[in-house]
Amino acid sequence: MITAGVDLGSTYLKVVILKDKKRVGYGVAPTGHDHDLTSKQVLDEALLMSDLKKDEIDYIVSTGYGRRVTSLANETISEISANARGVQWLGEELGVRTIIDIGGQDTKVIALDDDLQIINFAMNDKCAAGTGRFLEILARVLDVPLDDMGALSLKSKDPVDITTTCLVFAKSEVANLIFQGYKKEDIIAGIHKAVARRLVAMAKKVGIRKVIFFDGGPARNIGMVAAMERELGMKMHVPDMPQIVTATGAALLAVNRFEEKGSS
Amino acid sequence: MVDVAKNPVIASSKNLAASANGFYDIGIDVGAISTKVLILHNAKDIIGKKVLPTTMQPDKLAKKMMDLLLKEQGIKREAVKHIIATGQGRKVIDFADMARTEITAFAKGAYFLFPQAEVAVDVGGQGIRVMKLGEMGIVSDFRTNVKCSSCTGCFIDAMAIALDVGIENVGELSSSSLNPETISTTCTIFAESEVVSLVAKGKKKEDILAGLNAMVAKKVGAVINTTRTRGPVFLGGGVGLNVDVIRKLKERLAMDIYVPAYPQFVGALGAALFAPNPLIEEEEYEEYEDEEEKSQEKGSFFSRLRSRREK
Repeated sequence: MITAGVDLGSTYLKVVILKDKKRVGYGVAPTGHDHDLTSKQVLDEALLMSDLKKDEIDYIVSTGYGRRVTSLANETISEISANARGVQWLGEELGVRTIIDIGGQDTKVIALDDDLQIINFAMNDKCAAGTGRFLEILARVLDVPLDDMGALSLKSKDPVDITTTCLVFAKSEVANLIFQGYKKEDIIAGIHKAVARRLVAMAKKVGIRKVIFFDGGPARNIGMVAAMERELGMKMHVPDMPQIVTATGAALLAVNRFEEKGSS
Repeated sequence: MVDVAKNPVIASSKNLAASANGFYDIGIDVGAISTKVLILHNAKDIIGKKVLPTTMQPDKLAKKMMDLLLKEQGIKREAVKHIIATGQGRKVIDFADMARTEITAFAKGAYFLFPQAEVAVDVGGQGIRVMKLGEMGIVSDFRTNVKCSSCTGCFIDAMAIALDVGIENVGELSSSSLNPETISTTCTIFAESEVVSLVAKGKKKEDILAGLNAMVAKKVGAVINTTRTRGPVFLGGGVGLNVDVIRKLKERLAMDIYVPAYPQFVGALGAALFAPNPLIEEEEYEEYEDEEEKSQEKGSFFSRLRSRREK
């Protein structure tokens, strides 16, 4: 059986193709303005990687904030369910109890019970502080490629305290710090700390239980992971490809739905 | 529009020729977004004022603005009795004789311009501040929001840039809307993206602006309502220049809202009015000064600029 999960995030669009519940292809691209077009392009990319054709796909499930915009999907599912499903599959033996999923424009904390079912969750999609956007925009202010932020921040010996919460104010604050001659690595480490502080505060409200699973695009940033672990005072599990966990979850749900339809 | 003739301070600035004698005080308001400098004559008449975007070196900027103003008015530096600074960056102004917090300065300016006010609101570049005014315009209670930029001056600024509309035209353009859009995001950063996608969908600029202004009026109205006032309300700060926000706010609150002719200069005016005057007892303000320092000063970047210089 071949299924696909399409995750239309605010910033990136992710597609995962599963063949007999194994990942055989994936694609990631900026979401852009034409969500439907981008979803088709990214699916083509994933098909190319998996050496499959579109009509070989049995079922497609879309998720993410733009999930209703794509014409590809047979069905849609909320990103909370899709993310949890992805974690259940990826982390079956890890004993995950808390998921911290950081996206481009929102952040989710999901609490799982001992059977890996969702028991509680919190979501911030109201404020850019503590989301991937915070890192993305401040990287631009610093004129540092987003992908270099992690490695650079690890060089810091004296992280700067970012005192403002609002991203708009943080932009001026960072510009001011550069002007005053603070080192870039110290500013970046400070930015990671600021995001980590907000995420951990949010996770504490939901309740933190080991093992903690950290995913979403910004989880690729090793500096962000280090800042989170420092703030939490414990280690987290970060998957190999944290950006496509939710798309994987959607593709897994597609398997279930297709089986259900077949049996009914 | 605001009736200039109703405003005693602005109106009397016409009598400039008659004011060759007397003394001058200067008020400097270093805001997060813009710096305002004003010359006050005989503790009552504004005879010159300037506003420019705050730079990385606010002290140099303020000095330049002050010197320019004095030159324009033909006033010698020695004729200036006192220089008083206010605003988030007030302590960076090392040539000032004294500094006052933005709350106390704004309240002073508000009381001077509109003594009937029960509540004064400052909708500035980076924050919304609401003050309850007691007897003699003394602040009896205040609330500030300086954590979130939503619905502040820089929010409107960012939206104007996203829409490619001059900030000074936002109010009037928005007033012409017949079909206001609904803006679903609160965060300035997210609203920026929302505005861009609304434009991409072919929505009219005036309708988008009307939606944004309605959001600002709602927020400012909610802040005013926390004081449980029935008015009259004094409103200052740069957002006071946005006629559509003011109109929507008046409709929403159904109370008397007074906006001075130059809402941006209320803080600078209040600061200049703090020049030593035997009629005013300074001590009554001390308490609020301390409280506010604690809540606002902690680690702002102006304070960091200062501490770094001290090193």
